[in-house]
Amino acid sequence: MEYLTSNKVAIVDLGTSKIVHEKLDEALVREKIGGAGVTCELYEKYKEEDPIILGTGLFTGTLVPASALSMITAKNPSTGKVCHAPLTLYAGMEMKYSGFDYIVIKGKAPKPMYLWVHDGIADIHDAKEIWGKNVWDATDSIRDSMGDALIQVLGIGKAGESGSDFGQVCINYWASGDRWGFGKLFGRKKLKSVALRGMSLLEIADPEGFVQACKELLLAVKNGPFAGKQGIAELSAEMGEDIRKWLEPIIHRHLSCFNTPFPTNTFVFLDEDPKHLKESEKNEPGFLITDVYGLLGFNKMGLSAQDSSALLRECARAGIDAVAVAELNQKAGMTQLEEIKRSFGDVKGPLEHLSKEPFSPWAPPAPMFADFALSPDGSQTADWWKRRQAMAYIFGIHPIFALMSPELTEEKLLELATMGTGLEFTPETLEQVVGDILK
Amino acid sequence: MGIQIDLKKCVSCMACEMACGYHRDEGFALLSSCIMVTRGREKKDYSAVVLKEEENLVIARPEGVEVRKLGSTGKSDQDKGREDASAKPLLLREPCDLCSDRKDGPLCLQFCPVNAISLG
Amino acid sequence: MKEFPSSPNPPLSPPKIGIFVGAGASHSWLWFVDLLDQWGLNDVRFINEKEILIGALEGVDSLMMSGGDTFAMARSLGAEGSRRLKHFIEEGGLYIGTCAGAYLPLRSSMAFLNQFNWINVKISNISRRLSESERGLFQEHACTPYGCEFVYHVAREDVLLEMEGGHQANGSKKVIAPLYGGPSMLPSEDMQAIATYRGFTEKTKFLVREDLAEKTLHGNIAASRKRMGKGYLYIFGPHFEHPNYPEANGILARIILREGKNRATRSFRPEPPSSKTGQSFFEEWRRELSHSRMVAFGLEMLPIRWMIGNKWYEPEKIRVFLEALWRRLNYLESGEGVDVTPEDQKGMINRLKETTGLLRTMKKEHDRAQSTNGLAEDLFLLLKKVASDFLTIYFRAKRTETVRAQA
Ligand code: SF4
Ligand code: SF4
Repeated sequence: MEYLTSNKVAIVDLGTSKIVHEKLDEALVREKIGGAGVTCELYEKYKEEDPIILGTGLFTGTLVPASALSMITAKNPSTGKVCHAPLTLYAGMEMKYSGFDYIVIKGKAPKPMYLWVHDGIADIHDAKEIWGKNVWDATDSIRDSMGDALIQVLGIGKAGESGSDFGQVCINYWASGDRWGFGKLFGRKKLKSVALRGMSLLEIADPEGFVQACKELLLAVKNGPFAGKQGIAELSAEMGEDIRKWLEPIIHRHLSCFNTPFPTNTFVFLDEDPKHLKESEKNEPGFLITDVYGLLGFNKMGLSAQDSSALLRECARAGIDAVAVAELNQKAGMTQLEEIKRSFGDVKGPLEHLSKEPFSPWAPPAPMFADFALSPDGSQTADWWKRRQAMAYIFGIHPIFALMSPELTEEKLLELATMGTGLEFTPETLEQVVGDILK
Repeated sequence: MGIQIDLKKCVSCMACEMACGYHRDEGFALLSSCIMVTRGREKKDYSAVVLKEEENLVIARPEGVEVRKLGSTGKSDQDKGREDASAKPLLLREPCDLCSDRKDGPLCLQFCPVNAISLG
Repeated sequence: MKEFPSSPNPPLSPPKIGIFVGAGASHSWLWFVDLLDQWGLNDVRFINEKEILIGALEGVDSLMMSGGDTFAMARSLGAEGSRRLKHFIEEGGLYIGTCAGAYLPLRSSMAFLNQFNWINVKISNISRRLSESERGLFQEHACTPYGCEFVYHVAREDVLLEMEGGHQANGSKKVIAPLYGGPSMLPSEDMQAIATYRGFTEKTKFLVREDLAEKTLHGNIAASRKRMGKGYLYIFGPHFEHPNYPEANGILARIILREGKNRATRSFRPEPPSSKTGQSFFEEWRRELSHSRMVAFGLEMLPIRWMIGNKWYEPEKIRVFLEALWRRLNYLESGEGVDVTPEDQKGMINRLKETTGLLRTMKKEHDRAQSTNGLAEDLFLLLKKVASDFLTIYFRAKRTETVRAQA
């Protein structure tokens, strides 16, 4: 593969510490396009070895609006189903530039390790210094030792290390959309984290055509009904749970994932005046809320925005899915901050809304702000959502933004795919890939 | 005339940086852009957008814009001494040329999704 | 950064070219690397002042002396270096000097520089030629002290030149090249002009009033040639080797091709590598180069710079060296291999690791608000060595490929 790619796949065997580099087969891309299309295929190929597949979408890290997404594809340790967890913020983009489009991690390490992927090199490092550390400290430690604060770290905390069903693979310091307990899978493999950094260049088959089309697409989407709205509380309001006033007093700023027109993340200041503009003197003044469901979970328990956010921060440090913490604590009748903080090691039990779909329910189940011309009785919504998520995970589009942007049509995405790669992609191919992913 | 950045609107999405990278390298990369989003202070949520111009470094911070002579550090004790007329360009990050060879003008501006960039 | 684009038709017997990377050489020697690479002039080695003192010039046809700090160059070469250089030229060697490398052989009474009085010419950008009121016009930044006088600079970036002596670019005598402090010379019997300053372009940046700039440059000599024994000195005020000026590059390359073979040295005919340099060497190299690059990239965002010698160094300069290597790494990785002894391989990797280590320490020290000046000084010395070692291998591989393709 020549365009929009690093043209490399790494096959990492944690058991033997052997790493094999393969070229990204153009035939595979012609057949499976990218993202989840390819990760599913790689999963099948290595499934006997309990693999974790990291993958980028076809457009990840480009000027296609919202091209922020990479993913983890693996078997949900609780349900046994193959599913995909979204990697957004800057991590999805960073993976694209790390020199590998896909990374297969198989086997189990004999002792704690972390994988260090940079500029086309993948190395297995001893993790004895960071195993046992919380997510924040482990990220700091990797960044400090490498001397680079831009390294993106997919890492687990105590929860994943100790085999909690809700162990989450976090991104740097923040929660991710991993609702599958992939942290447990990492922990089982003694894989503390995957650190990513890359400074490569992606070539484009028809550069000017591609960028022009991206520009037109952005122009079409950016003035959509979400224009002027920002942040996590707006998402929740759109979902029918208006927590805007509740959260407002502690909001510092809203942040976008890479090249995503709607900022789906909100930074709240907890130990600092939220209106403080200068660089805070405090090292850890607040928290970046990236998951609306976790926030809503604590809100529903009657906690204040401050306490809810502080809990989210504790969850992220421990690398545990806040949604599970909130739901299971509420079920157990625990609503006090300190109680909940102490509960992380003990949260167990089935969750009520365990998704049957392969895509993370981190993305709300309905159109956001926009009109996708679905029937008002809701009968089409579930199928529409699945298909929309499939598009996002194939092309590398932010899965929540995909729900806001009817302008990002399948035709447009296919057109861009052809311009970007020089390969002809037909609606039939796309249909086939979607079918395979949803199988 | 130059690129103006309103940090109050900026959501740190890096689209401008990637657009400028494309303008320089005709591919997607971040190494040559002259507009850069600083991301090193992640836990503090402190970020600026830095623009390298012919003579100046324009640093748009949440608390305001600072214009610094290129090559100076902003700390007067380190800036003592002559400017060097024989300094050779480094040719890595070329200063902003306002995308003068593009008929639609500045690419960073066109890719900013929240209109935080303007030409003023 | 794209891969470095190489020459489609490298000459079979190119001159043996030395590039000076010793004391005083700034990063602009890498521009010569690009130029030679682009023209397929692949018989290249890198030489510092110590190597000159032990006879390194014996092995080359021509020497490229780039920009930087003339005083530092002269001081480090000393009388013995001067003698060796002179002997080299007189025996048929070609000396190409741009900017600082052009000032070096000009007549001077200053200590150290006076050991290189080979071209009897006056420069027009010296303060003794200014009236009292004009002297005052110079900002501090536009001049370099020179004894009790000062050398001043009137413009930067593009200058328009008129070529003489049959040199042309695309059939035209007009050519544009960038000026960064290089000399402007008054006509002299002692040399033959090959380019004259004729004017400016819209990209010229004036450091003083335009009329004074014009008075200093217009009609004066930008580049010249002098015969010395069997060899030649070619000196250029503007940087004809600057990578963004292909026409000026062409003029320079043709001079090297034409005049650079007078010493009848034999072109390097590489044997096919006896054992292919292990892929693991290049992988190790990529790993460490990547480590260095990412820390260097991070430093670019920090408000620091370093005074080394009498020049300011910005953090971006670190990556100038690293990118020159990075852009050529794929070529080596995918190639036929080159002969590098295991000890040399080990040394090269260790120095690159040391580079990463230094960079990481600098980052830490800066975060702790400590000074990084001493570290930076070590770093830039190391970078020169790391870069020239790597590029030596690179050119050897290129040369091997050419010879093999033409065999
Ligand atoms: S105007 Fe063009 S050159 Fe200047 S910062 Fe924007 S994209 Fe870069
Ligand atoms: S594109 Fe706009 S919002 Fe995004 S980082 Fe640049 S200035 Fe900020």
